[in-house]
Amino acid sequence: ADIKIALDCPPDPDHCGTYYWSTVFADHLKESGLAATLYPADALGGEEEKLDQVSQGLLEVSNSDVSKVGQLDPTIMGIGLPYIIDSVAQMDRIIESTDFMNLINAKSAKHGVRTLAVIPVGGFSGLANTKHPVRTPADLKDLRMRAMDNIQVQILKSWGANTVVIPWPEIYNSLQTGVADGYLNSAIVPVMFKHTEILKHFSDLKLAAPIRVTICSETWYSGLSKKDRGIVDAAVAKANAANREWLKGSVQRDLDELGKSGVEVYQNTKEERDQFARLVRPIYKDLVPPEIAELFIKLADATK
Amino acid sequence: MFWLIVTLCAVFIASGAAMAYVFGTAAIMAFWATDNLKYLAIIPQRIFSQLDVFALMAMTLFIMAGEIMNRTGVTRNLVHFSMSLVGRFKGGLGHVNILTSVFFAGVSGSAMADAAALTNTLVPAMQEQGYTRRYAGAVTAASAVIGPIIPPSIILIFYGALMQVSIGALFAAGIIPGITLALFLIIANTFFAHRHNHPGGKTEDIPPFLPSLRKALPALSLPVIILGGIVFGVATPTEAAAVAVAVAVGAGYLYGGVNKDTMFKSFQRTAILTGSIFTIMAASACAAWIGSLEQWPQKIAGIVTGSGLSGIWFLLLINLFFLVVGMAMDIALALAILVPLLGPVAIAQGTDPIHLGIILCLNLTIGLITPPLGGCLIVVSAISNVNYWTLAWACLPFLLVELAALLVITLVPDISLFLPRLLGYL
Amino acid sequence: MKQKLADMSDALDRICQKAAIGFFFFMVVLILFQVVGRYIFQAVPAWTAEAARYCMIWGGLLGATSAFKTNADPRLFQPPATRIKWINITATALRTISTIIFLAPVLYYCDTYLVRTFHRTTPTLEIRTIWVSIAIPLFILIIFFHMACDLICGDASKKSNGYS
Ligand code: NA
Ligand code: NA
Repeated sequence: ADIKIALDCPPDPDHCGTYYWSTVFADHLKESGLAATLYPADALGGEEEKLDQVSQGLLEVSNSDVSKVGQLDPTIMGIGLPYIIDSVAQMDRIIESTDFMNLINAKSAKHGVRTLAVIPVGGFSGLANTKHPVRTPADLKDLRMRAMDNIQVQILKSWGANTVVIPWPEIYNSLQTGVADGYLNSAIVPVMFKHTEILKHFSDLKLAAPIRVTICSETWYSGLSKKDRGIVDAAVAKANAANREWLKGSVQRDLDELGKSGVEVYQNTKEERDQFARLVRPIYKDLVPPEIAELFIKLADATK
Repeated sequence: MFWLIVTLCAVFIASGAAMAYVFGTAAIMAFWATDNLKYLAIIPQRIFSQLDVFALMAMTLFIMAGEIMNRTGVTRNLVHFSMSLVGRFKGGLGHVNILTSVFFAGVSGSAMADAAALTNTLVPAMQEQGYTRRYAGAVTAASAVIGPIIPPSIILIFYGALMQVSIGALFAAGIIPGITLALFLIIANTFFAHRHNHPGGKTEDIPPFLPSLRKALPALSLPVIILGGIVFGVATPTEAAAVAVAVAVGAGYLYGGVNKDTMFKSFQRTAILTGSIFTIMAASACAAWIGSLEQWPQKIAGIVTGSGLSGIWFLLLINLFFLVVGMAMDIALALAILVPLLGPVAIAQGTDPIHLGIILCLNLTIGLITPPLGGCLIVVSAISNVNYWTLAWACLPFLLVELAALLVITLVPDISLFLPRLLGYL
Repeated sequence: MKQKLADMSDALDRICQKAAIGFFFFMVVLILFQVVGRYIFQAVPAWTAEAARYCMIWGGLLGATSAFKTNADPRLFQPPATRIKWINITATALRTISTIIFLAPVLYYCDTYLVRTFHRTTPTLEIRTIWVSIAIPLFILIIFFHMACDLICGDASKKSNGYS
């Protein structure tokens, strides 16, 4: 049967990490004799719908938002805590050295959802805004920052920023008119969504790896023949490797593109970043369940 | 199979079934006909996600504000004031309607929602001054098409991100085509005003300016607060809509129109109208999903790209295609699926991506007032209580005018590109 | 008996309308609270926008039942108004079939859907999603109830458009 793969961004292999991952993945499946179709972003529905369809076994593979999968099992949210890891290499060490994939899939598999891959889609996230460079938390006092969810609200509050929750489609207007002054994201995001026309400053806070996940239907995956599952696993491995290779070139290129489109990029020093880290680390246990925070602090220490 | 479904739907329509239920029936039968019955299990979540949209609140809130304004005397005083300004022109309120759309619409991203919001104030107002309901409805539906072309426009923002072109340039590019379209509509409105002897003109009793201004002051705070709130960034469009409700109640109170009965009736009708529109949206969401699964848009787009046409002929074919798509599909979804397929082909053939964005945006929104399926027609007919076909018929001259404008805008790229060039975007 | 059923349908509709009005009222209050909060207290709780959206969904779906009950849904042709009995019966049957074809499959799949949403929490409000998603089967059940009452009672439940 046809393997449906739901995308989450436009078909742009240079800017969109998950699209590139998915093409490599699908190509390997097809070369090995399995039928696979890529569905454009939103064609089969938004994040909530894709999760629902995957959990019913009606959609085989989907590029998805981490926090959506986190609804079923919050373990995976640990990897996205601010300043818990300092590189994608460290993230990969955590994934390889521990039983990571089984750990994050233990509970969600019961809901029919399995995470196939954790995909970094750009450099570590920073802070973009329309007003002035942000060097230390003190610079956030006069900024009203857009937060995506409760977790971001708490992170921003720990630094003393004002927050406002705005849905993504309204951001361009909100930034233009000053309802919000900025947001947290990877350097490529303002470029992809053309917010570079309004944003003036980007501070490279190196907050956390911007990750998306590829999830698949547990019913589908466990129902695959041994041979087919081997093909799928190999395709995942191949796509992961391609993604990490892609990432090497993309981090600096993203910052360059951001600069070229008129956004002033500020490289925060280690000391400045530490100020942000010192404020946010004590609230880890408010951002994710305490046992998960502890687990990831331990994992991160072991893989430094 | 296809014809069986079409025939059945025609029979259901003839029996007096509501459009929402006929759409829904067609969608369910499409699951069956394409051998995808197991996918029916996705529908409850599909419906939920279709409704769980922040920007959709703007529609509900603007309908509510309109209901309150109509019942508490706010609308009457606004109209009175408008007449003191435009009363000397025949069809003046029709012009006011068109100009309101120019500034007002296109903020929610859904032309259907914008049309719903505007119909509720402008149609009763025009009717009170002696226009027929159907004409008022037709002008409102037709001018709703202008909204998304003139900034602010969520549709253009969406296109800009998809095609990686400057949103500022797109905004600039939309202004002259939008004004062109508005001018075309104003000319058509003038023509009809003389032909059907609409209110206004030299013989009309024009209300004196200053007294009507004084009386209209509380009512005038509404457009000022809404537009000012959005333009100066005090509030998002959705929030501005909620503020509009509050201001409508305040202004209505000053006119002595606020009481338990008017408030209850306003909310009651808002609930029923929103409910009707929700059912339509739920049904068309199911239809769109099965189309996406079966990749119908991609297949038809394949015919378009494989047509062997080039240059201007290719653009005209795209026009036709998107016009049809606009009738049936959600605009954002249509852009997300089709622009990556067709955009690069059109650009490779020499079309400027900015120009293309304006054409596509216009196409999709004009599709909304094109019978037999136009979404704006359905919504305006529901809210204004005008029979669908009567409205479609009244809208037809405006539709033809807009198609003519679209043709001109397609053939003369400079109309779109002049301002972006002037402002240094190109 | 017939009259009683018709009265029940009318009473249920009044309840739905009042509930819808209540939800819409809360929606307005929540969004206004959000604007005021941002400018006066310089801070907004994250959950207001989401709570307002859920009020809209509940209000809109309850409103949809009322639109059905009061024949306010837009249609291309009005139901035939003749004295010829078989035409009226056929038309009513067709309308009933159309409503069932659309809504029955949705209702059928709602059971597992509700179970799934029971296990999900909403992003900022952090309640179980089922408290919102349950509005969908409820909306269908109410419509089916109105439809059944109308079929059984015939003229006893005839009600004109609920608004003028
Ligand atoms: Na606009
Ligand atoms: Na208008």
